[in-house]
Amino acid sequence: MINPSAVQILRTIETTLVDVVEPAVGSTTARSALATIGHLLRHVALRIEGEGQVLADDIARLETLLADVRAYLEGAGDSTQAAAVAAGLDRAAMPVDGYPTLAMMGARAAGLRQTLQDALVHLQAQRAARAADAGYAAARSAIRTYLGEQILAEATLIDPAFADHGPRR
Amino acid sequence: MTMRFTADELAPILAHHLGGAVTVEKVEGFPRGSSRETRFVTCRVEDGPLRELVLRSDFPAGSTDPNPLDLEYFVYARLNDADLPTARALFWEDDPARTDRPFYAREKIAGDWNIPHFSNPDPAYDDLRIAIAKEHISMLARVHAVDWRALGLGERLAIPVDEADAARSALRHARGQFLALATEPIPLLLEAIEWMSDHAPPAGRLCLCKGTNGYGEEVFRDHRLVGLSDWEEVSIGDPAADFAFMQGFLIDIVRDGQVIWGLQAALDFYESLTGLCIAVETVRYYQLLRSLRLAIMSHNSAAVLRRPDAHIRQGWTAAEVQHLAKRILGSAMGLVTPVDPARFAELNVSVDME
Repeated sequence: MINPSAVQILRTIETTLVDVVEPAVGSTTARSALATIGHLLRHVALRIEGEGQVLADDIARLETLLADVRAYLEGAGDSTQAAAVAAGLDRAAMPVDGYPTLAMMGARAAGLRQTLQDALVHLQAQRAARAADAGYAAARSAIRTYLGEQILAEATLIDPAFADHGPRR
Repeated sequence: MTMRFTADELAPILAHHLGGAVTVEKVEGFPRGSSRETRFVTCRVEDGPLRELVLRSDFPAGSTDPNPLDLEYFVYARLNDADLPTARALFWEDDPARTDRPFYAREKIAGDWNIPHFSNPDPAYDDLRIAIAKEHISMLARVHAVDWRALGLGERLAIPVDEADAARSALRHARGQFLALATEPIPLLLEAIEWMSDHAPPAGRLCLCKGTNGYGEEVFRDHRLVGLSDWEEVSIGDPAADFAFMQGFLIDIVRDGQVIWGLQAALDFYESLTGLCIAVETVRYYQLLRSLRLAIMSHNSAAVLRRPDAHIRQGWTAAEVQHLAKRILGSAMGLVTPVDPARFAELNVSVDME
């Protein structure tokens, strides 16, 4: 373990920018850039501490959701789309040995979300034809629930870094 | 080598377009604006008087706005022939022999985006705030009366089939831009587009809409609006759209317990000028559509961030702005609780306003 931690270093950088650099900066453009940098440093610090768990939760939710969507598509006779979802679930699986990097987890989550987006495009095209299909309504409802959860998870990495911390630019 | 818009770099390019040897006296970056770079150039052609120009370019790593820079120039150039106070478009430059960063130039209109005392919360300045807002709305009424067909604006802008198609036309345009970016899947945006299509209001009429309006977007002088600026989100559509993004001009002003200015009062004033009644609910709808546009623009910023020379402001746009835009869409659909409106007011504050 290297002390100080990455987050502690980032906080020191932010304080130095505010206490040392900002008073010496004359132009509005530079002060504006410094303000933005301060916000983004806090955001990065939050991501260092929390993004791993957020991504792990997102991947788990997406895997469960996509399994349900695949089951619906199979039951509805959409075999091509069901196979595409199955392939999306299999693709870009996490490495089984070693600690996954945030980039690996981010890529896995993005791959699964792409699969969900593709499935959603198909489901939206079927909306009128399946207006009376309870399974269709349940699949769409489950997707909306996931989308709400994803927004709230993202908020934990955004709000504490930006809100009430002054001008952004 | 990436052009940095120095005086030495600009002098021969300006000479090429302005028809004589050019001495560049000053190049100054405009600190506001999150989508593109704006520079003010003071120069002299031969022995002529000092001239002030505005140069617009994408950030080195790319624009935040998925609408291309040359569309902005196209609109300015076509509006040269309209009866509106817009800066005269001068030239478009994308010759790789002269620059590796395309840009355009327009004349600079004397004035300022800032209006003294406008942000002073003292009620003594309420009348000033209302007068400025009315000045702006009067100008928008003129924008909406422009014969966009005669100006050929339909050559580059999406045209709705009819009044009932106005919002859906904007949604199709947004969906196409989002899917074309292919940076990161955001299924929420597809869900939001479907939801908004279901709730699309018909337009009272089809007209030229400026897109981004209000305090910080226009040029004022002596409390008169002398330059309609920032046309990057221009469209043909519902005039209600122009009330959806009107920074600082629709804030409720209360006197003796009575609301004497706000969105409804602004719409009433607009109706007195145009005869067109716009419902508050329709404006709210277009505010949502504006959030969709914002989500796509900030999504585009995230793509730009793949390059290390991206502007730091694009990092903010890709992070906080994108998140808030998604949250607005999510709350409209009932997926999450609404965001505190005070948060949005924070976004428009810049260091030069402190």
